[in-house]
Parts: sequence; C-alpha cells; structure tokens
Amino acid sequence: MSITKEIAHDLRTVTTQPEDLAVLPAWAKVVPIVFYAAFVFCLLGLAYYTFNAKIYETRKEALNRVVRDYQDLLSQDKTTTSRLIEQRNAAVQIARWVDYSPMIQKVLVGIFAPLTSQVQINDLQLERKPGAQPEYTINLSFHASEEDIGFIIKKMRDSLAAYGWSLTTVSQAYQETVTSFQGYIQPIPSMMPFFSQYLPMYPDPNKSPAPAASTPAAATPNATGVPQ
Amino acid sequence: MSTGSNIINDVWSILSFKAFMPDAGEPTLPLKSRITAPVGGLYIGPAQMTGCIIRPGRAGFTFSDIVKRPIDFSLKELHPEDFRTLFREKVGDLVVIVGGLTDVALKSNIRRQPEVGELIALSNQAQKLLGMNYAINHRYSLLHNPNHNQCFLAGTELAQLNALLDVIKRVNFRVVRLQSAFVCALDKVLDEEEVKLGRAFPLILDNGNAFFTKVGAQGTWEGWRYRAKVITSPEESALKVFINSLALNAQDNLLVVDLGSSYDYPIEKDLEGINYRRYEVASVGREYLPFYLSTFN
Repeated sequence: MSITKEIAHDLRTVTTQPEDLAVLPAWAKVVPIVFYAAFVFCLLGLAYYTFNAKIYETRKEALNRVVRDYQDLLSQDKTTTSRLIEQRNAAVQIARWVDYSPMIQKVLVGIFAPLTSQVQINDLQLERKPGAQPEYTINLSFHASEEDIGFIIKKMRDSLAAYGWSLTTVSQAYQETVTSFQGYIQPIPSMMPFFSQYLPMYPDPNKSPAPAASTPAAATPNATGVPQ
Repeated sequence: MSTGSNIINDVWSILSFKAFMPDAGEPTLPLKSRITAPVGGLYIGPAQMTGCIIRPGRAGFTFSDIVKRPIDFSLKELHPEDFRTLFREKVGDLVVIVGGLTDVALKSNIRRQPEVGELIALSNQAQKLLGMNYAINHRYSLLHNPNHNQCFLAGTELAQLNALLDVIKRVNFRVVRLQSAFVCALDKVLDEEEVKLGRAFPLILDNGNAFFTKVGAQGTWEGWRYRAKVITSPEESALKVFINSLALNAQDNLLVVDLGSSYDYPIEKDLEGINYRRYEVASVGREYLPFYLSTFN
C-alpha cells in the first residue's frame, strides 16, 4: 500500500508501517453480510411462525368448539336415547298389557290410529266400568293446536266407530295448548255382537224384562251380552 | 482492527464494517480512502483562521460553510472556544492546514526514499535522512524534482504545531491530516504542465508570505525567492517590490496561487503589467483553495 504521490506531507508523527495496517480484506465482508442476512432470515422466520401460530391457534379453537358442540349433541342424544328407551319400555309394557287384554286392543287402536305425530299425548286413562258389558271412561290429555282439536276428536270418534265403539264426549277443556278430554267409550251393539263361551244367564226374576232392541242388526247380541 | 482488544470489540468492528475501513487518522493512506463522513477543515495562520466542512463524495471532496476569524494573538494563546464555533456542523475529525509557519530551502543533497518510507523517515528519523540540513524541533516535508536531483525542503517549527495540536486536542477533535498550506500548494503547482515546461513560474501567497521559484526549460528548479509578510494590511503590500526583485522578463508568466492573505488584500493591483494567471479550480471557490489542495491524496 503506498500513496500515489508524496503529496501527503503529513506533519504528524507517523508510526504505522503500511504492512501493519490490519484492515480485513474486502472478501471478508461476506461474514457480516451473512450474519445480517441470517438475522433478517430469523426475524422473518419468527414473524412467519408467529403469524402461522395465530392462524393455527384460531383453527384449533374452532375445532375445539366443534368438538364441544358434538359432545353436547352426544350428551343430548344420550339423554334422548335414555328417554326414548324409557318410553319404549313403557310402550312395551302397555303393549304387553294390551296383549293380555284382547277386548281393549280395538279401543286403543281406534284411539291412536287417527293421531298424527303433531299430537303429543300427556296422559291417557282408560277405566272399565263395572258390569259384564265393556264400557270405558276415557281421560285424555294432549298437546295440539286449538283449531285442530275438533278435527282430532272427530277422527278419533270415526276411528273408534270403525272398530265398533262409540265415543261420547263428557267434557272438553283447552288451556295453554293442553286439551283435557273426558268421555265414554261404549260398544255399538249393531257392530259388536257379544258371545260368551259360558252358559247363558237366566233373567233375574226380581227384575222386569229388558225392552227389545230397536234395530234388527242388534238382534245378535242382546243388551246383557247373552247370545240368543 | 486492533488485535489486542477484546473479542467483543473485534466482533463489533467486523459487524459494523469498521474492520474493513482504515483508521481515519492513518497518515500513510490517501485521505479519500479513509474519510467516509464529513470532517472539518481548519486553515490557520498567524493572523487568521478559517473553518469549513469537507464532505467526501464519489467524485471527490466538496467544501462548504466557510467561517473566517481573525487572530490578533499568538497561536500559543489559542483557546478551545475559538475552534468550537468555527464549524457550522458537528464534526469530530479535522484536516488542519497551517499557513505562514513554513520555511523552505532548495537542496540537492537529500537522498530520495520510497514514498511512504520517506514520510515515516521524516517523522521518526529526520536527522538521519536530512543530515546537516536538519534543524532541531522542526517537522519537515520534502518536494522532490521528478527529473533532477533536487528538492525543496520545507520546515515547520514543532513548538508552533504542538501549541496548535494541544488546543485542538482539548476541544476533542481528532486531527486526520496536518499539512503546511504552502507545501501542498507548491507540490500541486509544480506538477502543472506549464510549470514543468518552464512556461510559467509559480508564485505562492500564503498568509501574507510570498514564494517564487523559477523553473528551467528542462524542468530544473533554478533558484527561489521567499519573503515573509509582503502583505501586512488591507491597504499595504510589498508584493510589487517583491515581484520587481524577481527580475522577470516581458515573456515570463506567473502562475499565482493565492491561498488567501490575512487581510483580503487585492493582489491584482500589484500584478499590473505582469503576465500572470491565477491558479483556480472551476468546481471550488477561491476561498476553499487551501482545503482543496490539502485533499489531493
């Protein structure tokens, strides 16, 4: 390293020899350049990682929410299944009871057949009145819209009639979407002849004889259910 | 990069690229290769000091913000406050050019040294290099004739320089170049083509002092004249007397390098009837000429 001309003429004290100038070669500039490039790369990587981490966190939170929703649904389904099993068992019990009560089968079919899924039954009581001839008192409580009640009762009455039973309304009340219905179910003599496998009953001598049936179709079973 | 410093400083100097840059104060390197930030320029003589800002650029140095201030006391009485307000921009490094403090003599018995080697020898072993030309307590510069065995020996009194450097040090400025204005001007003007061919003779005016040398057609330096204090006030001058003593012919031309007298004396009126040309640089103002000449290498 030398000065191009001896014009420097520096009057200061000169102690440095040119070969002592410990200046790193230009190619070594790659070291700080690589350092700064790596630094910038790390910063960009950190920013990229942070950016993606937020996205993944959001996605994870959304998935957790979905899982929680499905778990809630599963819990609700379990509750529903449990309730359905209870209802099914209750229905099976009713069905078994009905199986052991052949007389009431037609009555129940007549009651339930016209009901659609929109009608929700809260309570049903059937009570047989004393006596040999089957007559039932019905107490039915169900949910349905007010304008459909008359139609439902009519369909129920028609359905029962198709199976040989007549439905007589005793009372009907509607309060807060719940309809309370009370009535009598009696056999239609002309459609439901009664036969007994047992010996006929004799007329009670202490009672006057019952009047004859007015309709010819009712001749088959008499009023007491004794076949003639 | 310093090898003795701790590893943290070394690592930092690499990361900040300082390790790839020479020290700004390194005297054996050209100024343009070691100055990367603006530095202050201080041209100081017995009666005046001038400050400016020197900015490095791709095309060279640019100069601005000149401030002139008269000195009516000796350099030993300088105060740090005199320098603090001389620069309109905050600078840490200074290029110092001293004017009017240099004596010159034409010698033919000084052996030329390799360029940087001569700089180091003049600083450390001046007596060995200069022999009987050496005077104690002086700093020397040498201007060699490129074609002949002769040189100008310029000496500056060390006590004056130390007094100046002490004050500058107290202001916490770092001196990155210390030159004689007269020497750098003479070096430049002797390198002009018309001077080397003997078609013009240099006349240098530095702080009221005048120097003249005659150059032969073969490039030999044929004697010199020096007179101190030819200009002593804005109105008074002995320049005309000095020029008349040169016994110039009608065909002789002067190349006048005016580094700025202490009193802004109009030298043109003393040069009437003389063939002369001012040494000027188109891109640099006349008042910045000493700073321009000091930044050549």
